[in-house]
Amino acid sequence: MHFPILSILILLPFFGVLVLSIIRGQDEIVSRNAKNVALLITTINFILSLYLLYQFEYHYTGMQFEEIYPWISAFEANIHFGIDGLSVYFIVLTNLLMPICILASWTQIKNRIRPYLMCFLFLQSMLLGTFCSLNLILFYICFEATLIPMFFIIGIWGGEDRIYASFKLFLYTLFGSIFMLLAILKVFIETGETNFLLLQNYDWHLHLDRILFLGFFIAFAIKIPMWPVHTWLPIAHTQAPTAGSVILAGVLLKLGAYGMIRICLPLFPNASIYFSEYIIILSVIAILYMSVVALAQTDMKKLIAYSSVAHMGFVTLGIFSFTPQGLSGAVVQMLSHGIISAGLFLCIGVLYDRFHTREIKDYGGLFQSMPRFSILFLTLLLGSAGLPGTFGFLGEITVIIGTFRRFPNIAFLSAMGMILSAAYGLWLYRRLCLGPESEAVKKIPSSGIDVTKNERFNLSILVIISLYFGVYAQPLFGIINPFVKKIEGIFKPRFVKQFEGDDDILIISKQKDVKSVINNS
Amino acid sequence: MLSTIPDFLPATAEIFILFSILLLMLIGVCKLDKSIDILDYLAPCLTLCTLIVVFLLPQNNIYTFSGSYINDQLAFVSKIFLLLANVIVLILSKSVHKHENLKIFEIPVLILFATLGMMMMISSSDIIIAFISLELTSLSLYILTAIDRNYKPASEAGIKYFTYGAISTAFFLFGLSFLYGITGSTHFDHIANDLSSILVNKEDTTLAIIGIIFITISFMFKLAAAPFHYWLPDVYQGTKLTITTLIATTPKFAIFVLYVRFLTQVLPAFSYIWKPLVLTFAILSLFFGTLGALQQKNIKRFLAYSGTMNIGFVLLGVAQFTTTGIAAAGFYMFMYLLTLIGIFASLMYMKKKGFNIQTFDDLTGMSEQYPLLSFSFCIGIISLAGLPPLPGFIAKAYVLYSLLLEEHYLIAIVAVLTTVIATAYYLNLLKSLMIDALQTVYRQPARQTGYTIKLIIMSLISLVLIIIFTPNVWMKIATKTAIDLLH
Repeated sequence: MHFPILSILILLPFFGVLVLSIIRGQDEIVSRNAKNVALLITTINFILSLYLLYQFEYHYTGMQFEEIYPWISAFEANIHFGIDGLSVYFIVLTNLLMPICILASWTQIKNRIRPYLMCFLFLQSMLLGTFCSLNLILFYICFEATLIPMFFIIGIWGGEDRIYASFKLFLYTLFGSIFMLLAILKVFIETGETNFLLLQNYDWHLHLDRILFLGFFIAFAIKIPMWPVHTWLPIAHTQAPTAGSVILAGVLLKLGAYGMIRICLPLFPNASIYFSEYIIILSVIAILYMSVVALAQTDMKKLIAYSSVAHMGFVTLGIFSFTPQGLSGAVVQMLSHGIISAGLFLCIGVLYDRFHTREIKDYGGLFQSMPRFSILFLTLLLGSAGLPGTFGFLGEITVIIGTFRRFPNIAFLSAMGMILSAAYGLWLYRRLCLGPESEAVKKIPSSGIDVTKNERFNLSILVIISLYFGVYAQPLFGIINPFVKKIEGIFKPRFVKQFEGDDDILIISKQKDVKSVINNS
Repeated sequence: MLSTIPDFLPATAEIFILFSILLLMLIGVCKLDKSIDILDYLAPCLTLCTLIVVFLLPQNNIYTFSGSYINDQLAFVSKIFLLLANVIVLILSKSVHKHENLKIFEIPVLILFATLGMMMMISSSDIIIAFISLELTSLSLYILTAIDRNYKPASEAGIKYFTYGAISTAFFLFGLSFLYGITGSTHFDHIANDLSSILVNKEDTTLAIIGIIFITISFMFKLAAAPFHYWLPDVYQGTKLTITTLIATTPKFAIFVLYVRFLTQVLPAFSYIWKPLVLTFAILSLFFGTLGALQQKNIKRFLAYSGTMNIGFVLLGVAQFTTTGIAAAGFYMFMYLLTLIGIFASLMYMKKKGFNIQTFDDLTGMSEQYPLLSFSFCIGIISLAGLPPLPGFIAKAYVLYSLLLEEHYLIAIVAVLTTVIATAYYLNLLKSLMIDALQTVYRQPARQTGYTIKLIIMSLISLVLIIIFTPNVWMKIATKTAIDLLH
């Protein structure tokens, strides 16, 4: 029995919830201690996850750090944890963003800080559980349980319209995922198994897999969110507190796409191929239409929210293009979006704390009073727009290359989405930071309103990660590749024609940096 | 079985509780000034002793009184749960009756009478015993409902409860008379044999079907399944909190057990009649319960409608008539009642603090003053809504699983859709409790409370949390009971 590091990663935040619940004393002391405890626990978790990354065997295709404990025998639902190349970076991402979230709410959240932190720690526990679980029932429970803390985070500490936003988030997601529950139960009745790994390559009869696929897909599509079911996201983002937005954009949206890669593709390959064209059309609509909608926004948080939908469109596009580049590009795009959109929401939080408005027209000429902020903001925006040399470019270009092999027209259209994202990103920057100072900005004394040490620390970490992976992506692709090869092994026999004589399909993995990727394509 | 002197051993627990009741009545009548205090402590203690008696009884000799009384696995498990729940209800009622103007010595006595009736109901294997025990329970509950003569809503609730209860009893008796008329016997086993021989010999089944329909309707009345649920919100709203806790929890459980026993041991041959019937009532309950609860602002009325909806889920499991279905229904019922008692205990705690919680708005701001209490309230509500990761979800998934096993896909989809709507109103309750800011100024609690209710709430919540990690234990008990019942 090896060191149960995954259980510890998942249970430590849960333990933190218990510790927070027994802190006693005066309000001020309680809030100070609660913040310290939460920060300590999330930091320990982050360090543990780095250790996990260090111990991870890069070339091994199976599950690592596996743990299994019996749980509900009626559904064969065991507490079964394990990670592979797909999940390890998401665990690190979650653990990276959590301390940042807590630091970001250090002074912003004034009332009821203790339950706030408890919500975040519980959320972290459930998110890690989702990424680690290898059992459908356990996955569903963790996937759904993220809703409850999110409901409270938006509902209690959100903006003016927070109740509508939290109800919409909860009911929308619940509506989708309740069908996933039925699909999971049906899978269990059909196969007698709820373990992902054992369910791969199961032979579904009578197109049952199509119905089951839809059951899973609707849940994940709402969570991602894909185009016509995205309407909960902008309102949830605008009403959530900064840290809530960060975790929502950074990790929660990835749950859907993670579920698609982890469950939909390996379990229902035929159904995935059957529906792939429709999904690709939806993804392209999401990319183009949401980018145009983002252009028209007057609220900057909404703008970033719509751009998130567009960026997640690249993810679904990559997943359902069934090319190795598309798939690894989708994973990279998820990670890059997790870093960059989290940073952008932090930036908006910084502005909102100072000027108390999210309307773009109230801003202008921030560069003069907040130069440091403007530089960090610009780097993140360019990353979001997919400038070469940033993390954002890597994911998008890989997805486009992957799609190009099967659907050149679609690839062309989605490349237009990159242009649009540059358009709304740069236009947003021009309106916020350049030009003459606006009335609202002039009202605030310009000295000392630049980012504080705390905010600078948070943003710099994200910017550094974005730039680092923008120029040196080998560690990412190196870890993802064994998993991509496994999925490819499932799909290759079904696409013999497309892949004929095409043995170097994992071009991307062999590239050392981004420039040569461009040359090759 | 045929000896002239019956074997009293399997019924020791009931005999014990009967003598306890007599003792309590004697004390209540004799020492007027201190008798209530003594009764308050004695009643839960004696109920606990009964529980110990149930535990100590040998499990090999299960029939007695010429086969009209049964003490099998189902009776054993249900009695333990029933007695534990009633101990909690008695303790809760002891700690709040001072503040509810219910300092009357008959209350513990009547609660114990109802308990006796419920224990007999669980153990009955004869239609006469079933009827007598049902009446014993119901009459005690009618009196309890209207016991506060100075409180008008209580009298109204009492009248309503009595009228509807009497109608349902009449239905029950009428249906039983059909069965007796066809078979000429009152024993469950004999009736079951005769009914199946009617089917085998292809005789006329009209009378039996009429009887089954009447009996089903009477049980639906008692369980408050739609469309026979209209009395429930009024009765809940009119009664004092202590009495509501009793009415809402244990009698429903005992009637559920009797109903399951009736369906599986008397009417298995006619399952093709009652299965669609129960399924229809289940779906109607899901709809009426959900849609009714959406508009409620009063917590008790809300809990009544949510009870109808939850009974719908239980009946969905029962209607499958499979081991999984019945085990799922039992587990669901157990989880539902456990969380319901927790919620009622939280309400009583607030009551004792001096807050009169009637509507959702009265809950506003509680979370800031009593974080631990509102936390446990939240756990109860979330588990009642069946949201993961709380064990209410496991129960709901189990019922859905039993539905899918029998390939009732459409019904499963209807059930989950009503769950989504139902979640909306559970969230509404959570919103009032956790999200809405305190409108009024800081509300000073009227009085300090002891640790009793706190202890009960904490133990219920820890039990719920324990069930998350050990669902196997509880589901195995349910499955074992269901297997025992069906074979």
